[in-house]
Amino acid sequence: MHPALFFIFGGIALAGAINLLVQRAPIYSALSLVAVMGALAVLFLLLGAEFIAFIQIIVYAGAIMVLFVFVIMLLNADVPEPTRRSKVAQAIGYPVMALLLVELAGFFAAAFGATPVRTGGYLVQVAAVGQALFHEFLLPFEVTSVLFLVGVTGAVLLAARREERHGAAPRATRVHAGVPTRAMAEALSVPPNAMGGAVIEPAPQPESEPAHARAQGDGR
Amino acid sequence: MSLVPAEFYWRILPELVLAGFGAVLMLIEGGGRAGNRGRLGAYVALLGSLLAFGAVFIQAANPGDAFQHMFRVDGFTVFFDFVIIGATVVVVLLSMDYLPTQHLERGEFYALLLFGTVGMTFMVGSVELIMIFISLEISSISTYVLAGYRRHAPRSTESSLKYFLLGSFATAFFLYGIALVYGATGTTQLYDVARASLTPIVGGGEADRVLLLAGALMFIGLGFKVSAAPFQVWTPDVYEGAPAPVTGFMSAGPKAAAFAIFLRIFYVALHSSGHAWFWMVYVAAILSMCLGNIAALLQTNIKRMLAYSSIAHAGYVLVAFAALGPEGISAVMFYLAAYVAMNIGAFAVVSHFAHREERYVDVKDYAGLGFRFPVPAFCLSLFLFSLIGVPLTGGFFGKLYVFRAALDAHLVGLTVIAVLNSALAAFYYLRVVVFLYMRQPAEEIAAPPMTGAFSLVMIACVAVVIWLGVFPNRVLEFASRSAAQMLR
Repeated sequence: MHPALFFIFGGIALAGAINLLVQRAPIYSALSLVAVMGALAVLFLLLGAEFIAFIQIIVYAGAIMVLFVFVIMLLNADVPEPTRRSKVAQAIGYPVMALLLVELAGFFAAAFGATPVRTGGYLVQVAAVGQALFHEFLLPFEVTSVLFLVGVTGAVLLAARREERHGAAPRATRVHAGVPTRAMAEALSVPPNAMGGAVIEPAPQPESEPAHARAQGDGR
Repeated sequence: MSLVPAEFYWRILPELVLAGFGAVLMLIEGGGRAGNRGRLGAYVALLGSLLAFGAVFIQAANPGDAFQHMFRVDGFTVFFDFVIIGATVVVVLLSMDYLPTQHLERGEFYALLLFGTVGMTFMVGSVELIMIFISLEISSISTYVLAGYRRHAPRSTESSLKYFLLGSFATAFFLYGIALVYGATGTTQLYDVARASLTPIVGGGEADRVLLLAGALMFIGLGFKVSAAPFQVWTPDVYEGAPAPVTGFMSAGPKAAAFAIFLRIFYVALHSSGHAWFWMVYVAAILSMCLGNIAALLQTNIKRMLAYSSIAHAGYVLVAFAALGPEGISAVMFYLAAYVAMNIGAFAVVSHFAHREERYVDVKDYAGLGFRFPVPAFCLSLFLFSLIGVPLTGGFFGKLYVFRAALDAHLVGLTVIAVLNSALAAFYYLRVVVFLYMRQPAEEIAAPPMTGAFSLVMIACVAVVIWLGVFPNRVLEFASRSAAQMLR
């Protein structure tokens, strides 16, 4: 039984990972990653590591993937076009969802009023994880916090909006139509009529920026 | 019962000091008044790195293992801690000279420098692969961010992104290697791996093959970090785009730390398969030296030239690495100490002359500077001579010990290639000196202000380069003793 399950779920994980790479829309990639995480959790379960398997579901498939999806939706509002296959997904998806809901309802109905069951082995395994995490691997555990701090600092430093702009022109000047607006012209620090309504080039790169733009930037 | 004895904390004192000051910097940056925050941050960072340098002495007085044999304080750790934290002190000073001229001074920059140093110092002391991996990531992520610090310069962003993408890829290889080591031996502690590889848990020959594969994967990951060929392609673009002091920092601290764990992993944990991975090192050494030097000949941008030269220097270090013995280790250690001093010195002068937005980084811009700015130009020439390996500089003894270690290991062919490469390298270093003193400038670049910080950087780097070039014995003795200690 085990080898068959291993190949099935290993195959799902592999297929999900390949799909993650070939999809163009980030949201599809994120959803394939969920499939990979789920399949990996089953593999952990097959190896007898129940704790890791559930943590995998709760932390990765649950928390981190939700965060991924939120970030993708916030940053990138492009809604992918529905493909033909997504209709197939609908045709299968809705019945499966209904089935799961019925099963869940049945589960709750059965659990209602049932006596609680003592859990045996899990507690020991959790204790073992705790022992490994806070005794044997205490130093890496603590040092990881520095790693996260560096990650957060770096993200803020590179990505956060900054109040002071040291002389450099904003780079994210998107041109929607061929006609320059006053704001764009100001950003480029060139009088509007100098452009003659031609298609605007991207904002000048700071390294090749004209001297007067730099001087103006300093004055701000 | 106390789980963590007090001496454990003494053994990681430099790291604690650096992390503490990094956290303080973040608090200052959050609460302070805009305007002078960056300057205050610089002084706090300088104090923190100097205290950490002092803390290495306390660390050295408490040798031994800490935290369930994850971290080990021995001569090797102490040596690299001095080199790396010393480099950080110099880079903080250099940034105090560079960042105000770029109008970019912010506390986070210094915080990331300190945190990155925490990663590197943890790296050199760790004797356990998970710990090595986490500290490697700390140092890498801080450098990725620092490389993109000039956010408004597209080149800087490009540099950061390239470094990040390729770096993450390399790290994944390294991590896979760690997993295989654990699979073959059932442990991630380097000295236990060495013991277990003699009596493997997987059937005889198979464990050897798995370990060898693990070694190859880790070689890819670390080869990237030290920019050894054929994993060097990222180096010129990243070095060119990153702010000049950061480039100096990248070519020194992270490189020294990566070589340190390279030594520990391959000489200690994978010792039993040395005959097999020897050839990887051999080929990488030849490729790095030849590719680095030939490409450097063609460069006109001085930062790119120094980037290719750093690839070539990684090749020289690998020559000593291939010597497989305590002599090789001590040669690597000495070479890295000399290299860090001369390379940071060279980048310091480059960053001093770079001006706003790094406009002057071409060799032609250096024409005639020798007589207009005698002191920085003289220092730059000295560092370049040291990079060539002229006697009375640290670079000379560095190369000498490397070649001697290789010859003692009967690697005659490799030594000949290394010597020929050093001769070739002299061309492009000397070209800069020729421009400094013998060419007429096309455009007179404005005089950069000689700040106190920059003077201190020059004094420190020149002193170390000359000291290693005139009295190399004490450092070399210390390195040999540490090498013997590490192999035990």
